[in-house]
Amino acid sequence: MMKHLKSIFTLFIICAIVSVALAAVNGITAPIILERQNQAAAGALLEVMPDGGTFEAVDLSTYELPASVKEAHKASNGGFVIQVEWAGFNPGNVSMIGVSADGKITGTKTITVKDSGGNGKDSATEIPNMDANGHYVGADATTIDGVDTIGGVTVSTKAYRAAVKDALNAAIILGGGNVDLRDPAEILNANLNAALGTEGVEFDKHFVIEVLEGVDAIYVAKNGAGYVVVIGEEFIGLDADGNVLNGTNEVAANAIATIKATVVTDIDMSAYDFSKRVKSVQVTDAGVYILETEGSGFGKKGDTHSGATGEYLRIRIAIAADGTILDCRTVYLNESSYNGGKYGDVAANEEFYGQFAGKDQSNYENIVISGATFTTDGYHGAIKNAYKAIALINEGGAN
Amino acid sequence: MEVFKSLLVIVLSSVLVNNYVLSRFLGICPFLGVSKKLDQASGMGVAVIAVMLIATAATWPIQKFILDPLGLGYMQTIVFIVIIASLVQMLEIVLKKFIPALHAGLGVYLPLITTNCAVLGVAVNNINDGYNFLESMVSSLGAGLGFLLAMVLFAGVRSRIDESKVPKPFRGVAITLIAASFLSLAFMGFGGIVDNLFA
Amino acid sequence: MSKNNNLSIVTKGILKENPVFVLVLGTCPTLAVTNNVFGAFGMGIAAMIVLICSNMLISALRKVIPDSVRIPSYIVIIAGFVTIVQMLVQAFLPDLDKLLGVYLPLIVVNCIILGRAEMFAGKNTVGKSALDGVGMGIGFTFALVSMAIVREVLGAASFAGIAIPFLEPYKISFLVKAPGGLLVYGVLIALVYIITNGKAPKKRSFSCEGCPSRATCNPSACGGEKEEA
Repeated sequence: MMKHLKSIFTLFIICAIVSVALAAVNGITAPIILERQNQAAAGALLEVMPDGGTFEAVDLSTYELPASVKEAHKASNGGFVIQVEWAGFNPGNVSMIGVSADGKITGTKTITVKDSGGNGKDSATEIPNMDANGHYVGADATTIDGVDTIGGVTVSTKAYRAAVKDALNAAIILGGGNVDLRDPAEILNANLNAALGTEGVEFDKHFVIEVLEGVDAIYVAKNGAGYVVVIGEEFIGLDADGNVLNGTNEVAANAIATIKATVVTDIDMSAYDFSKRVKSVQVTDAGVYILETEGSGFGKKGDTHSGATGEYLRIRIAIAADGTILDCRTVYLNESSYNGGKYGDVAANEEFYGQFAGKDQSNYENIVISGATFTTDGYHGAIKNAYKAIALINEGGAN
Repeated sequence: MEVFKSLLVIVLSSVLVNNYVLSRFLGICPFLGVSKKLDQASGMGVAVIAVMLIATAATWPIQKFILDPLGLGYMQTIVFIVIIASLVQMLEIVLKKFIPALHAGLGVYLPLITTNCAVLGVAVNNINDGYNFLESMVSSLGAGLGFLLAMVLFAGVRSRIDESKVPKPFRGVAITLIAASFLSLAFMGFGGIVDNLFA
Repeated sequence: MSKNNNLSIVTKGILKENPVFVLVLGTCPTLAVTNNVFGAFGMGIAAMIVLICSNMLISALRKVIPDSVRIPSYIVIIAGFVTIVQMLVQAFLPDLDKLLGVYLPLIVVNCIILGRAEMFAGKNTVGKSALDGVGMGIGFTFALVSMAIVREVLGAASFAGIAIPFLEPYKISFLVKAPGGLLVYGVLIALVYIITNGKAPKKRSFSCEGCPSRATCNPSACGGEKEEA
């Protein structure tokens, strides 16, 4: 019995002494290890904000921030380093964005890239390259939307730009500023309603079939309450009869008057030898042609590759007498079945086809969406068909 | 479904891609020492699976509920090795007393397992990788299965080596290591397979 | 005579009883950390420090520790030193900590250390045990570094992380991966056999003698392998 007790006692003493020794060494090394870990963490932060000084984590729970914002550190120089998680082709991309106290990007670093191949380019190399080259450095809230994306990996780089913008907005909010985080469409709708003195009314963008000098866009209230003319940053409301609601504005009043006066005549399709891709042609009293034409992208007939049902993509386009494109809309786009719908979705975006407005026959082909080359070809084909039809009419090529 | 998928990824990667023996070099001693005969190799493999599971079931809660809250993370190594050593002893006593048949089969391998770095390695890795309890158990199972697989395959390889004429300097340990190298090379072929399967 | 004896305690560990190449002990870290010379050297030194300290302490306590709790006591003492070394490395050599990772705490189960405690320190004086630790430590470090030199220079065209540009086109990158480690280890063991003319390695089998569990171990579990060279 004594022997057992002695064994247990000895083992216990050894354990106790070892534990005390460990605790003592830990007492010395723990602060050093902690300090080193903090430095390492700060190192990553300093990479995107070289003059950040020291950093302190910010508790985000009391702020309303873009959903992509995951973490934030406040630098001693007043700037913020924001960690965002974003989805391009794949979710789970993580980037750190440095934003200075005056709202400028000081640096970006993408820690995890889940996106991969595009059109011969790889997001996994292109995005870190953007970071290394300081692609976003110096951008602020007003210029961020204009920063270039990279062709071939447009989807990824666009998503990345949106994430950088989220970080910028988050930094402004954390710095005590105000940012409208609403969806751009929501902001626009609010502005339109405010101009008209209404609430919750929905608007259609007017399809431009008139040459309207000095007007950026016209919106028509769906319930017939009136019009809103956008000139620069200004939203001018007009009633259904075209009278300006608050004060006077010649440009807006003239624009609505022009719209109201426009007379559209159908052209007899059988009178000309149109391509079968031309679906309808109209002309206004001002000589503007309005056409519906088709083009073939992925969704061309018999293309089993896309799994498409055999419809062509169809656009509605208005072309002035001098050949300038006034407006271009997508009537339908049958491409979304390919590749998870991403190319089609991007091409169907007004941001893409809206760019054709203001172009003419010589330069409409410059509008390209990389990563959706076939779809772009489809649009170009449809526009070409429209120009051909107009040429046919101008030649007076009646049967 | 997501949970199931992530667990499957853990198992597959620890059995095939990050095989504890062939790519992480944990448990090399028993791998080389006890792989001479198939029955020994499989007996050792099964014993290792059992000890890994029991060790993880004991060390994970101790780390999370005792060491971490008390700020005693630095005691991890010493606590884990003592726990594993005691568990192995206890397992042997229990087997001997209650399931003598199993003890006759596996018991002889148990003392060797105390110093098997794969067991301590898997316990420490589960904590380092931030796995939850279920994931830890699954990862231990995968590590054990990987060990068993490597042992069984290698036992087959070694029985062939024994029959061949090996140059004198290479006899014994050297040729065994070189054969293990080729087996490890074969396992390298699994690299990337798990990522691509579930991408 | 005694001086010679002491010297031989140190030198035998370097080649004749080299723990890695001859006794085939501590194989896990040998394979795992030898793809970088810096990591191999760090592992060797860390293991040597643990080996010397634990050898000395165990030798000093050899009359105090009852036989029945011998192995658990050794494990606790070794684990204590390993943890101390681990904490010091984390604090002062973070780069090394990153390279060694989980293999640093795994020094605990390095058979060399427990094996020397059982075979040497438990039976010899403090001084001799310290010398044994030095010898075995040097032998371990030497083995690790020489393996790492072969693997890193030929496999990664670099030395301790510093690139050797003219070797770059000729590197055999498979050597720094897992299979390369096993291959180089096997070839080096054969090489040591040739250098020592087949005399020194009396025991070219797998480490059953160094195994601390040998006493409780059924020989069949160790494969009963006792090759006559």
